Amino acid sequence: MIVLVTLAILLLLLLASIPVAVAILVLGLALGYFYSGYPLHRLLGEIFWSASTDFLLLSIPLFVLLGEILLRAGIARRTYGALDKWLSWLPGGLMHANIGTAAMFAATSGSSVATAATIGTVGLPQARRYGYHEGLFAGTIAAGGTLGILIPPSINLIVYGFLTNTSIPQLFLAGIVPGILLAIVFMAVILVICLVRPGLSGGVRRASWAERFSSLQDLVPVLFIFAVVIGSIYTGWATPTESAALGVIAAVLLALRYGAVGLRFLQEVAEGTVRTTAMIMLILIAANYLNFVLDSVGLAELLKRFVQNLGFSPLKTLLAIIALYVVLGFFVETLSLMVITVPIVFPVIVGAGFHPVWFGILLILLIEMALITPPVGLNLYVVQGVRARGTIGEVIVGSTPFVVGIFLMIAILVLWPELALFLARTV
Amino acid sequence: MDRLIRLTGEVAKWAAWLSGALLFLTAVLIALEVVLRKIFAISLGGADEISNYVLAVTSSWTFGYALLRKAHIRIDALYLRLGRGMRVGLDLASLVLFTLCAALITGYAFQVLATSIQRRSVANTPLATPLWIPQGLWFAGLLLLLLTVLVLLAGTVARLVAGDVPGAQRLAGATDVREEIEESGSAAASGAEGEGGGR
Repeated sequence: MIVLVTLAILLLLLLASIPVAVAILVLGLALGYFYSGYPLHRLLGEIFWSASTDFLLLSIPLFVLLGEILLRAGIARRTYGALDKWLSWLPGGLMHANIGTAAMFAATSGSSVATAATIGTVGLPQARRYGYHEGLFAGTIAAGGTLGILIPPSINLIVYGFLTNTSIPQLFLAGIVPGILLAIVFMAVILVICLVRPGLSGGVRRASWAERFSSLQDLVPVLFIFAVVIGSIYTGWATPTESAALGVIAAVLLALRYGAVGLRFLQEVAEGTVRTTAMIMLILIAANYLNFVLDSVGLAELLKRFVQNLGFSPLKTLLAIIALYVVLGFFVETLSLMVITVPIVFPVIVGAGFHPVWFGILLILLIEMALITPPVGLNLYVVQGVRARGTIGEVIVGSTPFVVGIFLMIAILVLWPELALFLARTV
Repeated sequence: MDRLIRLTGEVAKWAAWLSGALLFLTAVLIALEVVLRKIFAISLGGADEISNYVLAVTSSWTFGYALLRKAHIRIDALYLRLGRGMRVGLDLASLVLFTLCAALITGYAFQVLATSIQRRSVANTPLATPLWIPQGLWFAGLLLLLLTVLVLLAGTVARLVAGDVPGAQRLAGATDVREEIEESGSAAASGAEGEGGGR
């Protein structure tokens, strides 16, 4: 009964387009009021304060800040130019540079939308100039953008770690190999499509080796940031939050070197950072309160027992959960999807014997799929918005092959969990 | 009314700039702490504690800014398929619930602050920070959120009463995707400009 009431309230509020953070908070207050003997709402202030002062969560604004600085310092365009020279001889040409840039940019930024918007702005004009099929080209950008939340640093992985008490360093390291593999899968998809239908690709251009090597210096900034952030975590020098702070300093040095820093730059960076951070923090704090209420009224335990009583084998449980995310991913925005479902799904999946870190990576893959499946797939709209002509339908069709690619990657990860776990075991 | 809305926007923007600056200074402080610890094996002491307060204060001060910039996510799968009347109704419902939540949070945050003042609570750390200082700043931010959402609600109602439905929608409507893209797109474009200037 309580489960049904909970779901009904939540669905009603979300469908009514109530802000997600508010919906979660209202749900928590309602459940506490009706199903708990204690006045749980009186703890709202304490819980709000303790969640707002969590040192781990400070990594979120710092990583957002890092991404904002790099985004506005023009780093993406340099990276794109260099990868164009290295990858454009392949059938599919510039589309490989889209994926490559997305993968590298992902290694400095934790956001998929920012990655897709940036590469769209830089890449789409080229698609027109060299006669690419625009739908497929836009699809590669939308798909490539999703790499931003898999390859560390990833804000979504931090959110997952926060909600489930899973080690962030382990999650970050576990994301590296699947992230690179997914980029390779995406490029393989492009390669196959363009070998079968050469007309979809634009003209192939070949850069000389001299050009290629001189372009390598444009890859240095991104690799530098990645080395600072992930290196400091890997060696145990810094916690994730500290590594984010080091990354911010490194990014500012780069921005200064490229002469991007001015008053307007600083204002925009501040506005962009706090806008995203405030949104994430309010949802996380609300979710923290809801989790507390769910625990207090025993709902999490109830759900776990309900699933156990179904008598599903671990594999069947996993497949059911994957199916759930695929369906929900069509309709629910991704951060909200994570925050709402993880506290409920996580005990079930761990109870079935799956590794928390491994499931985190699998979950991110499912979330990536949600980002490019209509009708609610933010990356599709972002790329279409940057493109500003043609229809969203073309972008959706162009992204479909990459949805298949993500499915393939999910299957690979289910068959070989060690792909994610072997690096994670080193810390 | 319009002047009040503009004023709220101005205050929110300054809060955003200050919070951004504060976050950056925190990054410098933490980075310094890491480097000193690693190379000279000394600690500034309390860097992490101060940083935690910064997170609480900057987020509470910018909740209102995010609200004005329509950054608080609303699921619009159904919303976009509704007529104007229904949408305005949902916008109002969202604002009313937001106001209620903000009021509750602010109220209970005040109790936290009041308790700390009454008991002269001090953080259980080397710095022994009197808790009323960070909690007072945090509470002030939540108060700003409450005022912001009240102004927004009053402004929307006023415009509806005056028959200005599009104006009310501009204030209270959910983000449409276009605005969101302009946010990210202009960022990327300005990055590109910065790059163009460098060549």
